[in-house]
Amino acid sequence: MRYLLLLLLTVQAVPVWSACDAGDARAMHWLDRMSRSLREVSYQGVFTYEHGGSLQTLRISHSVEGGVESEYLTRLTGTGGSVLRTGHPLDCIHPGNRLLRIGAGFDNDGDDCGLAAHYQLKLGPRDLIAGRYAQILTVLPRDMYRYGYQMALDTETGLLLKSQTMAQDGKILERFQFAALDIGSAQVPGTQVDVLHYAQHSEHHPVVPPPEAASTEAWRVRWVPEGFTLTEGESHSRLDKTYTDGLAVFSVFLEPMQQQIQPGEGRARQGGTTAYTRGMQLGGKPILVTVVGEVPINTARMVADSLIWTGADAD
Amino acid sequence: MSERIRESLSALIDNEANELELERVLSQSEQIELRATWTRFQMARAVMRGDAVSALHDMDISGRVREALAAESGAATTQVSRWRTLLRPVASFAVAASVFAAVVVGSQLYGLLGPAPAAGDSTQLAARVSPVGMVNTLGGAAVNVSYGAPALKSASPNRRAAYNQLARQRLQRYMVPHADQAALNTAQGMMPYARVSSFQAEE
Repeated sequence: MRYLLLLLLTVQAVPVWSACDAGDARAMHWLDRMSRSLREVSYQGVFTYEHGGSLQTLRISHSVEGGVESEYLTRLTGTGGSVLRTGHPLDCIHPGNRLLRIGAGFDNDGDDCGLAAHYQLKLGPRDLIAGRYAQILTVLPRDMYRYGYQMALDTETGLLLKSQTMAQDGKILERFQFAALDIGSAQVPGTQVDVLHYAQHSEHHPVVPPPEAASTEAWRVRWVPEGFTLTEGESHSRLDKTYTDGLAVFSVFLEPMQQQIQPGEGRARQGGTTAYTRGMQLGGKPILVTVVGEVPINTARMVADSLIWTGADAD
Repeated sequence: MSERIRESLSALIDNEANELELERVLSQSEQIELRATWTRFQMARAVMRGDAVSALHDMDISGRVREALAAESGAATTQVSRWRTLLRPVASFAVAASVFAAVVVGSQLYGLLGPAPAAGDSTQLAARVSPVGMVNTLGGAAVNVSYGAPALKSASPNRRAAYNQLARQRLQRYMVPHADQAALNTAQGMMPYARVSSFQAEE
């Protein structure tokens, strides 16, 4: 009888994972750790970005001081250029970060599988990247709307040491990989350096808007793949919106045209990034829609296709 | 592609290239990127004139110019006229170059895409735009949708080329704002900025 009770309890406990794949739990913890260390750990190093026949080398430094992070990226090859982002508070958690972290719901009720609902997560063997031991994590999409990834995470800190994007057919589209990495120390130069781009971050904590908010905007997309969420609050005056599922990101840009254009579509790809452009009529006006993101062309196309004009807004 | 080679190419197209610039273009003409830019110039021109784009694809410009150089060294007397004759097709690409420049700046491609057809025709075309994947835009279930759904059947090759050109351009233009968001919303930190091929376009 006691065994039966135990069995019942076990069965009771099973639904916690029934909606998710039990094997994913450990992998989810790795992703959670990766998302935190990315923000919280100070590091500097050199990494490569590879796509097609092209190889770029970049230096990155990330420092955390008093709960505020500063980052500096310099391209050492090609056209050069630097990006600086300073004063980003650690407690400013963006939707993409949140999706990678294990929410309260993940451990307590079985409904929230997090990323595991859209990707199959598999821990692989250990590897050596930039002289550091790394845990291999393979992330394969459960549908056709996103790409797969192979990542290598630092066993000590969880930092992403290598990430390669793979198409459905297994073809590698792009690869980021550290060549050298120092953890624990980083120097981010002051603003007097030659910076070509100052990266922005919202002043406020970005909040994912409730669905009702959508009704007031002038345009919206009716479809995004499951698991994708807006990266910033809705603003109907904006002509761009970005969506993320935690790993993949795509942005929709609208350009009102001055004169009529013939309807049509065009596509372009660079590494893991797709651009899909369509000339169409929206709200009776000619408009050019472009979806740019690390998603398959079909996803970009369907998103553009689902675009609707929701009418003139109240204010 | 470096700014210098782009300038040389542009000078060559405008028939204003000096020897040094000509040599620079010739020596780099094997580069895929340069060839691609050249092809785009040609395509832009073809679209403007309403030519079939495919016929221009594999035109070998460096071969033609080398031929001209050989002729030059061979017969000094006919040098000028030979140059003119052989480079005329090159020079006439000046139009294409200006179109390309305008395209890079933006906004001028409307002209290329032409005025929209009559209202009835327009809706008909718009209806045909719907991709095969449309059915599952409302349902949530995963449906097998192939990559690269078939291209717009109703579009002419010219228009398709113009739109692909537009997409390539927009990819460059929007890469920075897209990377801004990607850098905040993936686990890659600032790595997405590596995808930006040039920050120069920024105002």
